[in-house]
Amino acid sequence: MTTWRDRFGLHALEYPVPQYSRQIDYLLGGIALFGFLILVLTGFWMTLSYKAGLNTAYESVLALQGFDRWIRNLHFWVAHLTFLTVLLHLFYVAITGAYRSPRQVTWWLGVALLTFASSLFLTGTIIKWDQEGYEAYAHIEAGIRYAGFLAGFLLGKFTGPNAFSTFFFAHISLLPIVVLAILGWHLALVRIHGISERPTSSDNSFPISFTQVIKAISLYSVGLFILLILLASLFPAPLGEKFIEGVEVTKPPWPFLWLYAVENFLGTFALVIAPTLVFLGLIVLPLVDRKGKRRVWIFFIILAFLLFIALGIYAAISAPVSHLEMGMGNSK
Amino acid sequence: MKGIIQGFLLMIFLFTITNAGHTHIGEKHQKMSEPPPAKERMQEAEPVTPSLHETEMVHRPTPHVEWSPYTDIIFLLLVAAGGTFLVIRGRRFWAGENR
Repeated sequence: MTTWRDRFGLHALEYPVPQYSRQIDYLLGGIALFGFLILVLTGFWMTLSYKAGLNTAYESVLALQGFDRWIRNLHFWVAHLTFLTVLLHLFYVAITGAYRSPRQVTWWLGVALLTFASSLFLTGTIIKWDQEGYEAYAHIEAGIRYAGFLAGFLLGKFTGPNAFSTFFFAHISLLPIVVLAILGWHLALVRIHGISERPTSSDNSFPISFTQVIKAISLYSVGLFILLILLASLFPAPLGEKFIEGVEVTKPPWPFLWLYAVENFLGTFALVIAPTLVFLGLIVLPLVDRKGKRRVWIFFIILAFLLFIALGIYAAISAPVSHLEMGMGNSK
Repeated sequence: MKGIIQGFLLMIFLFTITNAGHTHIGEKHQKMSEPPPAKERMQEAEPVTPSLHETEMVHRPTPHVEWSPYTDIIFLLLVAAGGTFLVIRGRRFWAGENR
């Protein structure tokens, strides 16, 4: 007899998976997905009161009251915790070598998701349009100047009076759609290739159903949501002062602090070169790490992870530095 | 399933009590963020024009920006703690092979 579960196609989720796949280290991606869904919902709510525009954006965020303000707090904290979960998911996949054959494409799609998640974080920081948002924008402009022959084209699209709407539509439309599309592919590949085997496990049985994994993700997500509700209620999302053009006094949010530190050492050129190197490193990882020599790659992965944290903490406690030398307005 | 329903009910309960506190915080925050009188604002900084590039650069005094590194440090420490936890959980992962 056909049930509603069959009609919705949910029986496709009832496939066997290993016992360990409902343990927390295998659920991080699913929890991040939950975070993304909350971000979409809260983001949609905020568009109802947000007034995109150079002269209206900041004021409309400042004017948020009651439930609208609380939703922004929630959006802020969910964004931070989702990014944290994404990073840990990436780290665990990396140290266990789960990106190796046949899951290289799953990994590359994950790297793309990380890139777009970073872009969402960055554009989200910009469109609140306070001092921090303005400086994030100014850093993008500084980075584009190193783009060589592409700089002329990019500067026209991503800087100047129209830049604001570019970032706004990227944040609320283009980037979420791209993330959703890649996410679908990423998840389909997880289904096709199966859940990566725990390296130390000798158990090759598949005693539980994937629906039990979904239940475990839901339980963790509910727990996380309660924490987020508390965070959003007790700690309002910060909003800096209205920006003053040409002034550089803030530091970026923690996911970008490592870049701030690198910029301290190497100047604004690091804005382009450092993320590119990290991106390329992540892309080539499954190609260079094959059979054997796992320890060498684990060493580099953990080193990169520690560098991210150490540089971030250094940047957080060091004195603010002006990287752009107040040069944003000299670009005419 | 029962756990999820209980969690959901707990969530609604927490939302209700914490949102009551939030309203208070919201009011306080609003008072703090009220703009100074127009005259002071005029003295503090010139108004920002719609175009970022059509005006001459004017060096203005550095504004006071509320900034606390603690949130950032807490998050980075959470990343570190989470990473350590995962390394411990996946111990001897370098010895095994993935399929």
